[in-house]
Amino acid sequence: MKALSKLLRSRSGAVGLVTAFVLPVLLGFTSVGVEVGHWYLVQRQMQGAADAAAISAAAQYIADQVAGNGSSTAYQTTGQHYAGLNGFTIPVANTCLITLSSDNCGPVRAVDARPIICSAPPCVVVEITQDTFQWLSTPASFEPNSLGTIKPIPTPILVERSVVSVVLRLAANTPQGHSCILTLANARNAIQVRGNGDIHANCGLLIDGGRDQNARTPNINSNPLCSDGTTPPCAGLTLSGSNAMVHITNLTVAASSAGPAGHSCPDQTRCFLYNPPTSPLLATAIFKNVETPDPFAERIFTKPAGSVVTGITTILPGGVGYTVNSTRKFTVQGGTGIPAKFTATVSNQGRVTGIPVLTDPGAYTTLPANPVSVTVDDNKGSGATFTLTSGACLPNAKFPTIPVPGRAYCSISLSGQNNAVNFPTGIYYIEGGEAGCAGLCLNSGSYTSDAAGVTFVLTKTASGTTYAQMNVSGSGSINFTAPPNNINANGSACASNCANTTFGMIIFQDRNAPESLALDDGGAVTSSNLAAGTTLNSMNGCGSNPSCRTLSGSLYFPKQTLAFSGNGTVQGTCFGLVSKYLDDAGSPTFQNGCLPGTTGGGGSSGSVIGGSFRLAQ
Amino acid sequence: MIKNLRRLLHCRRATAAVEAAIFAPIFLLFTLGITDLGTRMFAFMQINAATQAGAIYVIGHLGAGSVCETLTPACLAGIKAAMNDAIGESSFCTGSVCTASMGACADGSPACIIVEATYPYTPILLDAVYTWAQSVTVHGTATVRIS
Repeated sequence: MKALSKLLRSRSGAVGLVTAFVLPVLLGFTSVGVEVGHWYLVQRQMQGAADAAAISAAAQYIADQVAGNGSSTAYQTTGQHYAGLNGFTIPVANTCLITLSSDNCGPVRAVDARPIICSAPPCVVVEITQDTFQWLSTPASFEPNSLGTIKPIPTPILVERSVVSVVLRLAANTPQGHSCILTLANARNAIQVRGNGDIHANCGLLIDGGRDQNARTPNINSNPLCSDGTTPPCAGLTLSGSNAMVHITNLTVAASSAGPAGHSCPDQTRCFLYNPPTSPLLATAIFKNVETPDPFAERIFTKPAGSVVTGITTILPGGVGYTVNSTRKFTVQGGTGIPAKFTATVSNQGRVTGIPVLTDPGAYTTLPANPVSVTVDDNKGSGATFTLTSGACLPNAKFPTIPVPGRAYCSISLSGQNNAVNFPTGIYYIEGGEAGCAGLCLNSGSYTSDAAGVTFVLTKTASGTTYAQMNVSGSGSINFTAPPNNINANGSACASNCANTTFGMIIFQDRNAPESLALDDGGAVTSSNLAAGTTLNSMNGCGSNPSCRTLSGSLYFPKQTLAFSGNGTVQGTCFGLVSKYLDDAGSPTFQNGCLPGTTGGGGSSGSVIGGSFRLAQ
Repeated sequence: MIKNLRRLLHCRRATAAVEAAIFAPIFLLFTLGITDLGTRMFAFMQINAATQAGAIYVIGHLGAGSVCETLTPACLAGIKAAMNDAIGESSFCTGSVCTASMGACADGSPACIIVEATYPYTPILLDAVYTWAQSVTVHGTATVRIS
């Protein structure tokens, strides 16, 4: 007792005593801090491993699709394997796939209730879970909560997820297709046949890629009308007049009806099969409530920047020493961009005397200052100088003198003297159109492209407001092939990160072109479309010439109308027409449709030839 | 002499200072140890982030015609720049600190990118004091299949 009393009064070892009390508490807090820090470290590693595993699994998925093993689940073991390589062991089911039609991510959702964000299927998902390592702290450890009080630490299971969205690349030339025409208008006469018109299509017709054809009702949308002022359902085929008819293989519409009652299919007197042409198109060949997304919605083009040379004149006396009595090829020096080229004749004094003829307007971001010097193709002679004029695009291009891809043309107008032109592979940018030709104008003649394909882009100049259009007429022959893979503007191959993704496209009209808002029964643009006026893209008939329109690729007018008239066959190894409206007053025949990537009733999917991926979540 | 020593032993002055002097090294050891542990964890996170950033750079620049179609010097420079960015130190990837290899995967798949980084970590405390705070080269690897 006496000893205890002495101990209580003892002042020795006070610091040791305090330390003995404080140290465990200090250790506890420290261990919590260390452990929480460790969780963050693990979580960081988990996210990286999940990303790596998901990308690896996506690579396997793409490889399987390319190999034709569409239903392979090898991506799951790949995800598991690469999660392991990056430090985490996961079950096979933690790698899953979401496509438009399937989803095996149940096990992933079971361990992580957060919604999986996959706005662009297919998506490969990898989920990594990890029990936290109870290192220094125990379940009795504490951490402050948001109210400043203390709560016991639960034993958390860390969860990290990665979602990789896969974009599969389809072969441009899909197997001979089943659909050749897709219209995108939110209107009951998205395809309109009028007068004695008769669409003969050995392929399907698709109407509207939109998802809202049945949705514009007062209950769902404050605007009860279709965009053309009619009542929903909106998308459809309209047979205007008792003589209008179709001969097709099938019809697919996004709306719940094929068109306005009494003016659409099925109709035993006006809707027939393509073959045999006397058999009525049955209701079973009409697919309703089937969306067909615009297959070219993601495509882009990049028109040349700056200006082109529009004219060139010689400043006499025209230098010295050039190879005499001949036509030489000259290249303009200076400036920034692709240099212009021209030809000119050389006098017997070795001077440039002839009037220069532009053969390539170039594409400049900075033009060389006048007077410009030049080099000649044989490097003999010097001193000739020239004056350039320039503009946003080359007017009155005289094909076939200047069939240079990758350049800006105000219009390409071919007929008369310029009626036999072959276009080298590449992309031709037509900006704004000119008087006499609204853009690409092909009249009677023989017009072809190299087998590696061409694309005509219909757009406007940088400062202009008028967009180029297409007008094809006459009985000559047109034989164009779209590039089977992406190309650069100058025609060289482009494998990735392309500024122009025009594979499979012969015509690519700018999405910013003034929009056709409605068609009246006469096929004309109505007063509600004041901007359009006469702005119809047109293709007129070519009589009995069976090969007058050989188009192996697609024509794309996402905002405007294409008007057909006359007769004639449109064929090719792979044809597609995508326009907002199709107005037909003639009897064209369409063969070999193969709009890429479409589904449901009409289109056939192309074979997968590759793909890419991006992290989506 | 012995008498003085006895006096010192029985002296009660400045006892707190004496006791503090005994416990201070323990506290110091403890504090520095925790600091070293945290620093090493931070270094590990940095390395981890850097390797992932390098791998992501490659994934964003794949394909024919792109800078990382093969592991060109330009691609490697891009990888290192991405890793420097991730770490926040523009001269991190000097010498052989950051490496990358592209080729067939260990599992036989056609192409993998492996990005690695090392970082010499030196603790404040001497190596012998704590096992986790010894001088060590922190190493990180990111392995991603790319086709």
